[in-house]
Amino acid sequence: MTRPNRFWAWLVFIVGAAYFIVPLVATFEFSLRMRRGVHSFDAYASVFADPRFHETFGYSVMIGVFTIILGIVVVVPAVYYVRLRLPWLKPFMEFVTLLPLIIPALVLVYGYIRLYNSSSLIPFTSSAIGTDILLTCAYVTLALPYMYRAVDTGMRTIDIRTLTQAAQLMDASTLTIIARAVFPNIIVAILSGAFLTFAIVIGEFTIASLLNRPAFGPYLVGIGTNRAYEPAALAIIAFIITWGAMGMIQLLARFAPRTAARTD
Amino acid sequence: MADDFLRIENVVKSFGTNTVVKGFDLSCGRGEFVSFLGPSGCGKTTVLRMVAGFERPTSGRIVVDGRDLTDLNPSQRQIGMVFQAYALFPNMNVAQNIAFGLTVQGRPRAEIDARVDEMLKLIGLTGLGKRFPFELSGGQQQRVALARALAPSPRMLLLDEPLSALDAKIRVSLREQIREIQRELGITTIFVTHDQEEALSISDRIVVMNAGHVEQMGQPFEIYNRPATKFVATFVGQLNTLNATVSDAGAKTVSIDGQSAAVPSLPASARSGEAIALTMRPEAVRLGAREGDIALNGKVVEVAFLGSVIRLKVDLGGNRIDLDTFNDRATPPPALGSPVTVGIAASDILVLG
Amino acid sequence: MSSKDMASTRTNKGGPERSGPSRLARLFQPEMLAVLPFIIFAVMFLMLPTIYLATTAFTDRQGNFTFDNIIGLGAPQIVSAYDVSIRISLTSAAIGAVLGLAITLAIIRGRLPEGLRSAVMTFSGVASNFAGVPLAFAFIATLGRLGLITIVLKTLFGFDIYRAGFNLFSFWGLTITYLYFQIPLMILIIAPAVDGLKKEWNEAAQMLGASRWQFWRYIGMPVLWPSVLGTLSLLFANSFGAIATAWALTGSNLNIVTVLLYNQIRGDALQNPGLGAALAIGMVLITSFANVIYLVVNARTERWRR
Repeated sequence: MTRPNRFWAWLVFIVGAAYFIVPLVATFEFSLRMRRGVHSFDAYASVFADPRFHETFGYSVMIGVFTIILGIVVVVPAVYYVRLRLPWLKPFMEFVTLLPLIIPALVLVYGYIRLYNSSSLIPFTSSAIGTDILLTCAYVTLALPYMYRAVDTGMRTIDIRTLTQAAQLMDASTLTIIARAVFPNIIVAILSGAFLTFAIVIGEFTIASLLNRPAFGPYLVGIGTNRAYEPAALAIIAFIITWGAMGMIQLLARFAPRTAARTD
Repeated sequence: MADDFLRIENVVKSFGTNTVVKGFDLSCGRGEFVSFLGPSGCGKTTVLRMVAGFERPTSGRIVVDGRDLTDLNPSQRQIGMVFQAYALFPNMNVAQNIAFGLTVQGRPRAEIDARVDEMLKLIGLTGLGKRFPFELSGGQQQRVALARALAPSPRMLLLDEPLSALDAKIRVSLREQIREIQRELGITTIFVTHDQEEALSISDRIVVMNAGHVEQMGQPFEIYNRPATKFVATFVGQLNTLNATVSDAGAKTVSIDGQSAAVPSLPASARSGEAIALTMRPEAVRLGAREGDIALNGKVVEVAFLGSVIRLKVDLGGNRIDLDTFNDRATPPPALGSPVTVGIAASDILVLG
Repeated sequence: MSSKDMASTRTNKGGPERSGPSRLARLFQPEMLAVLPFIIFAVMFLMLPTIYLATTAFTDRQGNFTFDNIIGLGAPQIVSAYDVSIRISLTSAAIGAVLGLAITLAIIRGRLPEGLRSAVMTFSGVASNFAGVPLAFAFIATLGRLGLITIVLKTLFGFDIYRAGFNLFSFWGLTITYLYFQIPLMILIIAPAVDGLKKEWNEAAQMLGASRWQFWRYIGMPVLWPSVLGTLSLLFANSFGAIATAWALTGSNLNIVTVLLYNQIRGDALQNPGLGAALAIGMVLITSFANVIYLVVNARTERWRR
């Protein structure tokens, strides 16, 4: 059972690795082809010189930051109180955080456009700012499952219930408990969720294009239809950003605080 | 030699530069129940796995019933094995688990069903054939694992710490059941454990191992009462140590806290005036000295009433020893702090290398 | 404040409520304030839109109830779109499942160096998020007419894949592209199940005389296949709802449900919002069904893992 095993395992691994690495290599190589006959970083220079790159990237980063903040406000208190006082709400929370994974983003944005257009009660889409808010909320919804899971796991790992009870026994007020005992311990989990959210927002195309906002995703598609080499450069840039975000999450996982006993 | 059923000949196992088993020799007769006893990391499981076929000996041979198995795969050895973690197949019910060895051999349905019923009766779980492993308790699962190992009528049975994952009470009843079944079937068995009580109670012979080599091999009575080394004496059962000084090496007398005593023998290297450690079992120490005993005076510092046995800790000047005595309805145990005289028969002192 | 907190912590200790506030009163606890933003969000941005679309699907242009939109789903263009979507999703899910399983088995049970496993898992985490527009660009750079692989095959091996009939902007082109996030997703989800194949089962099976093939036939596959099926379902749903990659790669050339819906939203391509809503609801039903399969299978396998 030993010898044949390792051969096939290596074969499968190498073929798999090839499938995943080759496109990255090809994309990088393609991005260097802008100047005829020679490999150069011209495509990258072109990208960085494009004012619309900076505009849309900046816009997406800004939306990303607001998404993260709103996400924290929506998720963290809810997870905390459900863990502590309202465990009967847990199935509801689990169901809600499953919905964005089941209902495609395309369907959701269709719903938003029809529900919140200029002739409805809450006319998000009738103004630019309103649409920006809608976009942010849409992204919070997209990132909800991941934010929820990150924060929930973080709170479970540090046994938030025991922590709170210990603080209460020392007569701490709720605010002190949250600020001093809870928050510092879950900051790592929150940051994990934040990086994942950021990765999702930066590259998102569907909702941004349908809501007609000047985000990075639609800019990418525009470049794709008009230019030849810049898209490859942008793909590499996007890949590096995604790697960066994921890498930060892995790094944070090493610094995550842990307590020995787990109540559930 | 003719009825040597299992022969493990000078087996050595090294992983790189680390020698885990240093020259292991064992001969077992057919139907014998041998335990490998030792602390974690002593090599007992490694030897077992070499007999099973999961590890290849670096040198040496393993011969079962005249056949050299050393180069065979585990699936070709026809040996049954029971694991610490039960390892029952979760997608199959009890009957299917037990039948597995026969199923892969392609036996006819009727034969398999009959054998499964036979096995269920043997382990006392008749009627539970349709249950799944996750519906059974730990003890029940391990019994099914035993039945599964025995169903294909293997040559030998190997058990790798089968009781370590179970509750204390179940451990005792299950080890007795295992022994009963083994006797009934007359199958040669190797039982690996780190629990000396387990090994002592059910084995025909015990192999005590430490750091890769065999410390002592023998029957439980031998191992307990005539331990060959300090390790065996301390690992198996409790041991008392009395610090004494050699008075006269030739006359074999020692001095214990000023009192003189004669011992049966001294290590060859003992010289007059040297310090020496005398060891004996707790049950060798008596309350109240008898004619011919070494008598020592001391104070009771701890009384543990264990039911049928009373365990006292007695402080004898510079020494502290355990003393076991049987419960007697008429006589309450001595009070804490009361002075006592203890007696030790010189012949009960163990001389260890 | 402390004693009141202690009291409510005591009554809410999981399990059925024996003492404490009645069901209705629970809704008005002060603690609910913390959960309020979450609930508002869930309602406004998940439930209401979906319910609204569901009602729109049954509404005609005048606002009356009708089944016409549902019937309208039978139009050839729409049926064809569903057909292509389902076929791409099934294909990419099936291939993704098989290859993902093979890779997972290789890194976990194939006795490869330990570091490879964590490297693959990390990469899978990144790659499963690399979907969308950049992925399309990457594959254009790889298998497009001027892509690296296309050129290498043409110059080194004299084999022109485009002459042989391959086209990146087609069913198979999209499927191959989709595999880039389907395979990592499979690896991430199935790894715990493969981990669950205990080494002792292998050893026990060997001691009972089973060959490697017999182990897989009687124990390995039966234990794994529910998880594989469940994950396959998940991969199907994932592929079915994907739009960005398809849009960036094949644009409107490939008629799939998501592209159809996208065009409908952008410019009322179907000339009928009710029909668009029906299309969307049809999508949701399919993805929900696939996810339910996953959840049911998941719950069943949990039972075994004790």
